[in-house]
Amino acid sequence: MGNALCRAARGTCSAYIPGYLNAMPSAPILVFFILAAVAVISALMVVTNVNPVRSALSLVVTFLSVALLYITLSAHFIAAVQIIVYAGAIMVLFLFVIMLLNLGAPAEAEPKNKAQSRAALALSAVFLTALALAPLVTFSTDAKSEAAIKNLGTVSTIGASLYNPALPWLFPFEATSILLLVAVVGAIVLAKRRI
Amino acid sequence: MPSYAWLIVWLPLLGFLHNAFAGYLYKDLAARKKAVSYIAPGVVLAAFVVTLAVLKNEVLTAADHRVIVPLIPGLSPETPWINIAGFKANFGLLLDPLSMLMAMVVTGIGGLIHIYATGYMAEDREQPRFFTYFNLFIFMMLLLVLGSNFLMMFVGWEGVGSCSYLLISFWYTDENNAKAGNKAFIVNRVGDLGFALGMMAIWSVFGTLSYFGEKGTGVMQMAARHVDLLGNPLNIGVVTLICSLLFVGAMGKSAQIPLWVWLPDAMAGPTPVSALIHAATMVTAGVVMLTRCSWLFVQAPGALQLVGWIGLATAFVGATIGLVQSDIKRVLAFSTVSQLGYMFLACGVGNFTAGMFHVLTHACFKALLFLGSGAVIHSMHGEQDMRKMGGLKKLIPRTWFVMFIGTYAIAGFPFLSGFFSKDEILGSASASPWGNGVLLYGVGLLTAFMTAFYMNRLMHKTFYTDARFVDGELHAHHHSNFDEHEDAHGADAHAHEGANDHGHGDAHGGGTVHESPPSMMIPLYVLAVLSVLVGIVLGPTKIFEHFLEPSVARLDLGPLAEVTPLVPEIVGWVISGAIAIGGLTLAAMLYGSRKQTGELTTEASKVKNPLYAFLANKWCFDLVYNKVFITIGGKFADRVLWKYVDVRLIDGAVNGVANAVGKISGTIRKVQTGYVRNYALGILFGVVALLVGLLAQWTTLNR
Amino acid sequence: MVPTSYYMILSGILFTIGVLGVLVKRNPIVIFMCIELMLNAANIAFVALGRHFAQVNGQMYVIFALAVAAAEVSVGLGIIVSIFRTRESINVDEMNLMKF
Repeated sequence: MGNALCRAARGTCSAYIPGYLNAMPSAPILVFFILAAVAVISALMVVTNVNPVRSALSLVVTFLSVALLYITLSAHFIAAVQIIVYAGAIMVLFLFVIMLLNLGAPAEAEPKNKAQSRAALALSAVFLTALALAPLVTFSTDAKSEAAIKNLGTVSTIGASLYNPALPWLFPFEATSILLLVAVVGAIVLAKRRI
Repeated sequence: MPSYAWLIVWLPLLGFLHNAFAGYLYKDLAARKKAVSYIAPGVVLAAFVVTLAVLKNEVLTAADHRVIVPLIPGLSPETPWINIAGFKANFGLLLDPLSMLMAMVVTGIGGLIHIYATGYMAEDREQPRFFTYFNLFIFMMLLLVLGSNFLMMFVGWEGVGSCSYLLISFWYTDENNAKAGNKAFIVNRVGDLGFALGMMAIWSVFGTLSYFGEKGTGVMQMAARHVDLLGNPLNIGVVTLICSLLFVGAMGKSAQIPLWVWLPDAMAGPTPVSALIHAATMVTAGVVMLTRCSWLFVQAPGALQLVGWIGLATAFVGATIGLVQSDIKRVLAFSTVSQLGYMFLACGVGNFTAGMFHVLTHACFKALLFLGSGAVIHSMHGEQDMRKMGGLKKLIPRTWFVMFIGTYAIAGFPFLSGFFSKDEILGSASASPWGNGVLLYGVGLLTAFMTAFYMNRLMHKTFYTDARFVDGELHAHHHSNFDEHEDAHGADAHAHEGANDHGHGDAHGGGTVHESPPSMMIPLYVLAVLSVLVGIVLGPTKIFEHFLEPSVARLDLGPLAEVTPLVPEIVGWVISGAIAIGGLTLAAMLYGSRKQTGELTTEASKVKNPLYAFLANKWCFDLVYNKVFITIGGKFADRVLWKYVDVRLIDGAVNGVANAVGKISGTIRKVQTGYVRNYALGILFGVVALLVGLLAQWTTLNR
Repeated sequence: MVPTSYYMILSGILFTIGVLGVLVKRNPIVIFMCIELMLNAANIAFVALGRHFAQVNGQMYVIFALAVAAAEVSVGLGIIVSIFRTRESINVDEMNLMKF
């Protein structure tokens, strides 16, 4: 279906899209652009929405599209974890806190400090330009073959790497468990009225 | 074989600690005083014995008669005491004839004075405190003379200064005593600054503070080779500067013009203090230092000449003031100033050995005289004014006898010790390398004449003329910081008061004149014997000269040449002897003919005589100093230094900086809004800057 | 195959949106969401670069970043709850004690 879509796009659009895009619209690239557009738009909605609940829901969309982007990068395990942890656990936590604190629809006025917002916008523009320029300046485009990267994101590869004592991931993994324990204790301590 | 020299230094320190903590060791005052009166002289005499043993076994057998041993047993003498960034000072003791001579004088004569002091201070409730300071003084003085580098000498130098201060104002409840202590301390600061600067100059030129080091790395060895640390020839100007600064230090400690004013006031302390510190040992530290640095001084003729002139002037001025004093201890104080001037005169003409010989003989007879005068004062129940004495020869004949010997010794009566040392100095003065021998010799002889005169004047006023007091009705001038009843309790148990016990009842009412207890008389006899014999045994036989030779530089090592004396030695002896006898005889004639009053003229006519007033005012030194430093200097400090420099410049600068910081930060602090998002913006700004910078770098690298 | 630089640029865009949100929003919960957005942007870059060099390291980092994000959210929301409890408000404009 992807191929058909792509072919159709090429057939219909090639007449009026510029020449340098002509080589581009293979199916994966089209998928990438769609997902990227969804991610960016929903991310913008996170920022622009005045209602935090809507912001949270827009963020879920962003997370989901990012998960799909992981799949296009053949990182299947990460994609699954993204959905489970982010779109599942973390977002539920957010919504839960919003509801708990009854912040459903506060009338968020204009930020008082306009200078701050303007400076933030200007600096962000420069930042984005710099970030966008960075890959153009620094990357060589010698991508690896498909075969080399096909199995990179499978559960077996990840697991074999994570628990391999010869690789440096085992100790951080164990340390992460401590971190999570501390976070659990910390969250309880912070949220509880009296211990 | 390990050296035992460290014991010399450590014994007095142990004594000091014992005396200092005697209050914890013995609850009973009498027991405490008894223990202290044995321990304090005991450790010093033990140190004397060790000194003799070390001299015989270690110094005289060593090559060059010079050996450096550790201060702390078991360590190497090269063990650094301070070792910071190229600056190094060792914990070493330098044993050579000079240091051993001084160690013998300090522990030997010091030990005798300690014994004497057990009798003299027996009645004082604070006797343990007195001996605490006394032992500490001996320790510091031994550090000064035995230390193997300038820094250790400086430690001892400051230490004896502190002890001197503590002991001058020992009876601190009398404000005058406290002031005298302050004066000594403050005047000495001026000199000590000179010493410290000199030490720094030595460090910058020679890169070490050790006198002698391995392979000729010591200051004196380099000076002897005319080279500095880098092997360049010595700059005479720099060496002259070093020597002049060191001499400023010596001026302060040894009471030379212009820093001599503290010594007469220092007589406020107990008499053993005057004998030990302000006559026999500490005040000679300047001479010892000059002799120790003789290798430097012979390279600096300018500094030597300065030393000579200052010494001559001090000798003359001191003697003239001594002529008119009526306090028995002040006569001796000015005599000390004058004799110290002699010693510096000897150093100034390059005969350091003669200077040291006079240090030795002077230590004997001046200790004798001071202790004798202390015995007189003790017998007179604290009276020090000679105008109220007289006729004591019959009452205290034994004290008279030792004082008589001391007087003749210091006057230079033929074949007593002062005769030989003074003659040696006068002979070298006449052989002054600057061709002013006649002047130096002449003034030196005149001073010797005056010395003989004022000493015999003292004897006549005190012992020969008619008594100007009523025996049995003496008023006690008792010194103590405490109520005398309390004081008497403490002294009851004292062991040294046998047949001569004058009791305490008469100390409060009218007292009779009596001889001093044996603990005071025995040291006097020993010192009297020394005053007679030291000169004739060590002087003409050249024993002393040969003994000290390894420690002293010869004058012709430097740019100056030796000169033959004006008169042959035998003629010099005749002249010196004649001068001494002349002075003694003149005093005997003048005062012998006025037996009743003991005065040449009446008090009224004295006051009218401008010369007398000038001399009695100590050549107006104190007046001028008061005017210049206290009045004018005080006004300067008040109006310029305080109200302008301090308040406006220094405070202004400090407050100005503070105000400026306050104003600037008052402006800048508005940046700190307290809103986290503002700070986050700052972080973003930094990130952007970093990113742009990295991009620019990558772009240039990839181009 | 989609070029790595596309993913990098997408990552940059998402990151910038996150930064902008942190800087202009006043609701701390939304600020938190924007931080999550930034973390996701970084994760995309990790995975994309891991693919670019055919190494598993990129995905490893993402796993750890996920764990840290989970911990951070739980603690951060706990802090917000406790602030709300003491101040009855969580407007960041009222939290201006970080001065002097």
